[in-house]
Amino acid sequence: MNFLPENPTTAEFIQASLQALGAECPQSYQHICSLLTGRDLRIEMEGEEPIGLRFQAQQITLLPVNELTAGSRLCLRSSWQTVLDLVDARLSLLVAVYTGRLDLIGESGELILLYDAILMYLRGGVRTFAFPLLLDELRNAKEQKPLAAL
Amino acid sequence: MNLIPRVIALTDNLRLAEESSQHPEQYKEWYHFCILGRDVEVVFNLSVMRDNRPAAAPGSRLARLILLVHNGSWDGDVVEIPWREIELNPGRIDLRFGHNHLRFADGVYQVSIALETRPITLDLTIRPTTHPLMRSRAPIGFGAIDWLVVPRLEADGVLVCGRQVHRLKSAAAYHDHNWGHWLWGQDFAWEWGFALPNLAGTPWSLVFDRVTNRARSQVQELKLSLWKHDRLVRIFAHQEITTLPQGYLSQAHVPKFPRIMALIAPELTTDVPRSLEIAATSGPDHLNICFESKDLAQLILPNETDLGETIINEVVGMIHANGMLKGEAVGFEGKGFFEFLT
Repeated sequence: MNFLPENPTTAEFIQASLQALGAECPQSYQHICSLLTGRDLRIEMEGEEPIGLRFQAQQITLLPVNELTAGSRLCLRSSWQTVLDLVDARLSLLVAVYTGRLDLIGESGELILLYDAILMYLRGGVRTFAFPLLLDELRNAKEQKPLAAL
Repeated sequence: MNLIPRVIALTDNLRLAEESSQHPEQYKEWYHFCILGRDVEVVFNLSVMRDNRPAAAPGSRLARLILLVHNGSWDGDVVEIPWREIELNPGRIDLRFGHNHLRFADGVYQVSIALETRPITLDLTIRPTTHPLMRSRAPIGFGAIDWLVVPRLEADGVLVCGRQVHRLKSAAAYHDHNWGHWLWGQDFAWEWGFALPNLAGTPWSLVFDRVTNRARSQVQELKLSLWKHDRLVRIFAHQEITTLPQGYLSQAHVPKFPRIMALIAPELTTDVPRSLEIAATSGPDHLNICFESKDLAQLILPNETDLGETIINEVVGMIHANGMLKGEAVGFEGKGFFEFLT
């Protein structure tokens, strides 16, 4: 059984992972909510439609970017290849930010909260059964194959 | 007659003693080996534990395989093996983790490991050459740990790491087996290490263990054990031992396993000492050890008590040892692994 369709969109991956987090590690899900309550986040993954996330006290909701709060300035911009390089430690977070492969945009205080929330998402993720499977499916769909393998 | 294989078969058997405590859900057990080759070091570990992830079914278990290779840089992985692929034989030393196995037969440990996630395979026979030392119910966290240590063995076989083939012949090796009840994240830390001489003819082997609270301000267990040839000849304990960490090991890159944990614990600084001096004195007997840290990798485990992590620093280094034991001079230079848990 697959969690994701064959070529998942960013929205489908984020939706599935948040659902898994809420079901399998609610403590982490709740912590993310409490860190970012009242904020919107715009996520831009290379080559895909941007998506929005709204954080409320008990819930994280996906929404179209045109519904994001006008004042919201939190934005995460990257590519799936960068995410996989980070997951497999081919790239460090620091280098990803320095080299512009991962942009976190917002005011400094907001960025600290966003970083803490990303850490909490990962800390919850490593405690779930679903995340490794989701990552495998994502890897199969998104990882750039070396030329020799094509 | 060589008694060591019989002693090993009788003492190093798989316990799976989950019910020996009021907290079977905290049970953990593992077989741990280190190999010191001429130009490569290997750490491997087969562990089983109760699965305490939030969504795990009550009573379910988790099996992990760790294989780390150090030959200038570190490679390896920490792999979770599905429980349906695990075959355990309590009372024996015979474990199958998927296509990987560890067993003890004909006086040797037989090990076969092939990672699916990295191009690394290991096929060894490991012959114990010293008698084991056992310790029961040592305090750890809010629970207790039992352990058995075989400080010196000889490994023969082949390690393939990427395009490099290492043929190991009578390589020095170390083994311990631990089982008990505690949770990762409880209030404990340990420093645990062994040293084996560079020259195979040198008879000495030593093991050091120090278990403390997390802040390392209260010592719960402290021992320095010395073997001559196959026999344990001396244990220094507690007040007989002083330790002096010096400086901090600094590395531009700190490999972390499993790799995804580098995102959660990305720090490049560690609290691993650049050197650790251990002085043991009891009457006329004394032993001075200096462990010089050379390189480290981190094993990072999700805590079971909270959403934090426990970091086990696997540090390879050089040892200088000298002293006097029952009127006999003890002295050697060697290599070893120390673990610093933070």
